[in-house]
Amino acid sequence: MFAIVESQPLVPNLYRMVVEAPPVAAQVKPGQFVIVQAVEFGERIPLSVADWDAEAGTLTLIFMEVGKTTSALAAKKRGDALPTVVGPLGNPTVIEPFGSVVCVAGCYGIGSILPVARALKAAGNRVTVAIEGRSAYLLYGREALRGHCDTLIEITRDGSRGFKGHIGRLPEILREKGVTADRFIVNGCTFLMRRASQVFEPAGVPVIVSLNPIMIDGTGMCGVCRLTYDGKMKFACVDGPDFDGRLVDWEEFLKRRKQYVDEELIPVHHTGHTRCY
Amino acid sequence: MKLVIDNRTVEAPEGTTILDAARHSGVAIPSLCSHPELTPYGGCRLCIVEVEGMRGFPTACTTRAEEGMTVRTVTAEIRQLRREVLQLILSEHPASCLMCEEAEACASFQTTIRKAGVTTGCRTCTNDGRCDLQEVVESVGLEEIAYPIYYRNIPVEKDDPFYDRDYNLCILCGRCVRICQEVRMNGTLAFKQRGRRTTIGPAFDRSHLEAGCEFCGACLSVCPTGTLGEKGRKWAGAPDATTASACPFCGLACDLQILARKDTIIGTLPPDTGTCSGGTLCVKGRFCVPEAANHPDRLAGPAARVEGGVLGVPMEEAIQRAAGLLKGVEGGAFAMLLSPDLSLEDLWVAGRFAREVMKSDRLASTAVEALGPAVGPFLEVAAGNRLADIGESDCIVAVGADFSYGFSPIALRIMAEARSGRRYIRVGAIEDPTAKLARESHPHPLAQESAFLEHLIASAHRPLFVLGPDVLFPDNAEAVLAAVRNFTRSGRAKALALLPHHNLFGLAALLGDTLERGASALLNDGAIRVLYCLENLPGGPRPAAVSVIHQSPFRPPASSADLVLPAAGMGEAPGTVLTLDGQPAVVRQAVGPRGTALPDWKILSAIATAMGRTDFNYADAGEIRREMPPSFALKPLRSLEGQTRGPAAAPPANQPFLLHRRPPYESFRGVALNALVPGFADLLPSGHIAINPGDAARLGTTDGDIVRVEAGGAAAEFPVKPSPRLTPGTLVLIHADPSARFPSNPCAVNLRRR
Ligand SMILES: Cc1cc2nc3c(=O)[nH]c(=O)nc-3n(C[C@H](O)[C@H](O)[C@H](O)COP(=O)(O)OP(=O)(O)OC[C@H]3O[C@@H](n4cnc5c(N)ncnc54)[C@H](O)[C@@H]3O)c2cc1C
Ligand code: SF4
Ligand code: SF4
Ligand code: FES
Ligand code: FES
Repeated sequence: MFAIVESQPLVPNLYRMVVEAPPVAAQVKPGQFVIVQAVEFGERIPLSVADWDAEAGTLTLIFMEVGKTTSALAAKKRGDALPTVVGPLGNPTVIEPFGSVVCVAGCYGIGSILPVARALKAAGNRVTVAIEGRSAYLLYGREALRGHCDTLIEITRDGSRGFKGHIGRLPEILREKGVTADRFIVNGCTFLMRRASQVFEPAGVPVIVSLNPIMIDGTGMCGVCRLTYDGKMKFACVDGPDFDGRLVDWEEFLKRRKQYVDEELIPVHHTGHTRCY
Repeated sequence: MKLVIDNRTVEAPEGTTILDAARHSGVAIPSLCSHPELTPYGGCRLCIVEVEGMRGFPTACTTRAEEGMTVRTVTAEIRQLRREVLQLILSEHPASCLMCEEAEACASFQTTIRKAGVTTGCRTCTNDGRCDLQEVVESVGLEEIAYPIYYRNIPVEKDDPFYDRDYNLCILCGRCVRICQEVRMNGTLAFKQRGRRTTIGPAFDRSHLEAGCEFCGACLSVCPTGTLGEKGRKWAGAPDATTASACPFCGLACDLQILARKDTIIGTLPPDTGTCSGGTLCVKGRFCVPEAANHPDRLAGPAARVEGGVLGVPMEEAIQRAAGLLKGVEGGAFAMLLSPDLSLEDLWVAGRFAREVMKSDRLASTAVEALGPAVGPFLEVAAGNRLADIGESDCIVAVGADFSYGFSPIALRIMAEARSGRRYIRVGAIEDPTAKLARESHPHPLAQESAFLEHLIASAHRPLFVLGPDVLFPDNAEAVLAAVRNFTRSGRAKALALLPHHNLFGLAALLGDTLERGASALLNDGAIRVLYCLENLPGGPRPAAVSVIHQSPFRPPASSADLVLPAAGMGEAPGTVLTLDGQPAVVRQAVGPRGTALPDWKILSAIATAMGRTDFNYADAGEIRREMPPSFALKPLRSLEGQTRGPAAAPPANQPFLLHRRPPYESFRGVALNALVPGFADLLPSGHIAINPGDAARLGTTDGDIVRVEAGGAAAEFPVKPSPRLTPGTLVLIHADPSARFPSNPCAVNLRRR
């Protein structure tokens, strides 16, 4: 069992959990993920590692409550434990002195972008971080991020903080601020990553996205996380999760992510009374 | 009366509001808090207009239209004011999606449905696509909110059954409060607290369950936002088909609309009055249909027991296997269990199958047997049911009727009568929502039945007895029913018996006076070669018959069947039923049967055909209906002269509680509703001792604690369920298991904490 050291809601729907997993904490690198179970015999779900403390042997996970397993996780309290935390899985995000890197994050990606920005900065890059959300009350993590980037940009749909709009506004904002990018790195929901891949295409530089297909084992055995990348078949868990968004077959990716929507509704429809969904 | 609205002269009836006058003449005024079924409230201020000669901007929903009035509904100033009002509302509503430049792309792209958590915008709101607020924003036109955005951060309320409440979305229009008070006459909901933390709910921080909420869903039906979300279809999206049909859960067969999406039932609503009616359904019709229809125990294909296990087989083969099992079996070696939830068409074909093909008259129903020996007289009284009697009587006496979670339309009519001064008397163990309007309440059952009832109606000229299903289970049920029957025969009183099953009259018509002939005798008869079950058997030992054929929408209880045939479920096949006032009601098909399931009559016809019959080739249900004799209506049932058992004695001092027992008669095809729908089990759980909360506290017990129930020599242990519906000293046990046997019903008992 993996003890939960901290667990609290961050903003509506997003939760932060710190869990003891010393072997993972000793090895994990930015961009990697773990597979966790909320309950024994429950579903195994992948979550990006949002931070870690090798000395204390802990990992920070930031997750969004979207279904059966994530609501069970949200109901966990400090002192509870998770039956499974395996990892680190997947390839670390490539960190090199690229020059100027623009990191874009939304939703749970605001959590997982932090170690990436930190490592990029340490590698000598000029780092711009843009975080986006529907409204000010849904943004988090700005204080922590500010310490690891040169420029922090905030975008909200309703303009309640920072710039008003969506990801489509970012190129214009970057121009205004005189930021040119040698690389984009995008973490967040699928819509954000796909739109970013389109919006930044004209810049002619890589747009790295951290893909989140349905996964089961996370070790290249089941094939559930299959996607078509640059015309070739890849497994997101062992070949990714980072890919250049310009080469991802998004239509197929979406179809596969939506595949089990009807089944996922079963546990929430036959409920009537429990809290846990 | 004539007035001028936006330069057009319009006609309006005396006494209407400007809003209604405008609507009738086709002028749409934006509005949020008004609702055609509710008294005007004037809370949202969106419907402001200008009226010549009046100062300021009156709200159209609260201002009477008057002869010769000149009204303007759109001027630059009004437009501006409306935009401001709407911005203020939206500044405290998660409204960013309404103003998002990517909204369309995002909606079409939406990868995964967000199934849990909190609504932070339209794309994750259960109301998306059928939202009054969205429509108003569209019609008023807004690009931004000039006011500071405030998120109230109120925890989402998820603890009650059937619907969740997220008051971060609430615009305080008060529609839910008004429908609860005005239409449902229930009064669970009220405004709570003040200012920015105002929410809606029962006073004193009670849960809805504790406050006497009936879970009728009227509040949900009228909420213009996604504040109130139906747990069962929160994430299903907007329906793509709506079918007018009838509720399958009791003899009222209420009109309802079945909502479907992608050929799956996702919900039901009261009949469409064009105003998203709050309606009169009870919790069963409002919330239980989709959960029962899509239950994980639904059968999708036939299966046969083979050596070493159970094998899924195609329908064709299953039909052949059935024909094989039935070959050479005739007369008393064949028996059939029918369900009072089957349509007339299904019953007719089943009856023909048993009688003509199998030459057997051994027909019964465990669901009917569970209603006890008084079901015959109950149906005899019911044969005189006329719903109109409620309005025509001068004194209504409800006996054994618990209106909390059923028969709501009757309760609403009774309450309306009681409110207008009609004498209303209740005899029953449970404090239901009608109790507050009753002139007198008496515990059930009564001693000296006839004299007592006579006394209750002594001063009335046109009394009406309303008999609920709970009248069936006390030891003196037959005496009570005989007394009522004598009143109706002599013309002294009328009676309305509330039938707990969809088509109990239909089944009674088919079976006549053999109706209550013991189903359990059939289960225990080892001489039966094939037992054909059209209802799920109660759990327990396998029937004694050599082979059991199970035909139902639901999986049979473990290892009780040799051949399983999947039948179409509710909303999956058309048919007719006889409602409790003897009228035919039409059940329509809303979606296709699950998997390879077929309507019951089709399966039976196919088997008959496979057995060589040529007279079972119906094309559709309509053809069966044409074949059914017009006399397929109620047959006289057995008379009950001289059948009375002694009344219950008053409880002795050392046994201070009176325990009432009843079976879980809310069921479908033999499966108890509280087993199919978890939320319903929260309301009426089986195997629990329901107890008055004060009594529970005095015993030092809370929900789920085990208590020992002792009566004379008998004792048994059950978990308790405190419920405000019970008066002090009263206990109710819903139990299908006859082994939970006490010397009498009701029974004086003592309770002890274990
Ligand atoms: C490499 C990777 C990293 C991720 N990192 C995070 C993170 O840091 N924080 C976070 O909130 N979410 C993250 N996700 C997404 C997260 O795994 C899903 O939201 C989660 O599995 C949903 O499970 P559920 O039972 O609560 O919801 P369900 O109702 O089961 O599903 C909701 C949706 O989540 C997706 N999903 C379901 N099961 C899986 C699965 N086994 N693997 C992947 N996706 C699934 C599907 O698209 C589904 O429609 C990540 C996914 C991947 C592949
Ligand atoms: S209630 Fe209506 S406007 Fe508000 S979030 Fe839901 S869909 Fe959007
Ligand atoms: S819950 Fe809905 S109906 Fe009730 S006040 Fe709020 S917005 Fe209006
Ligand atoms: S998750 Fe199984 S192969 Fe990637
Ligand atoms: S509709 Fe008239 S004030 Fe709300």
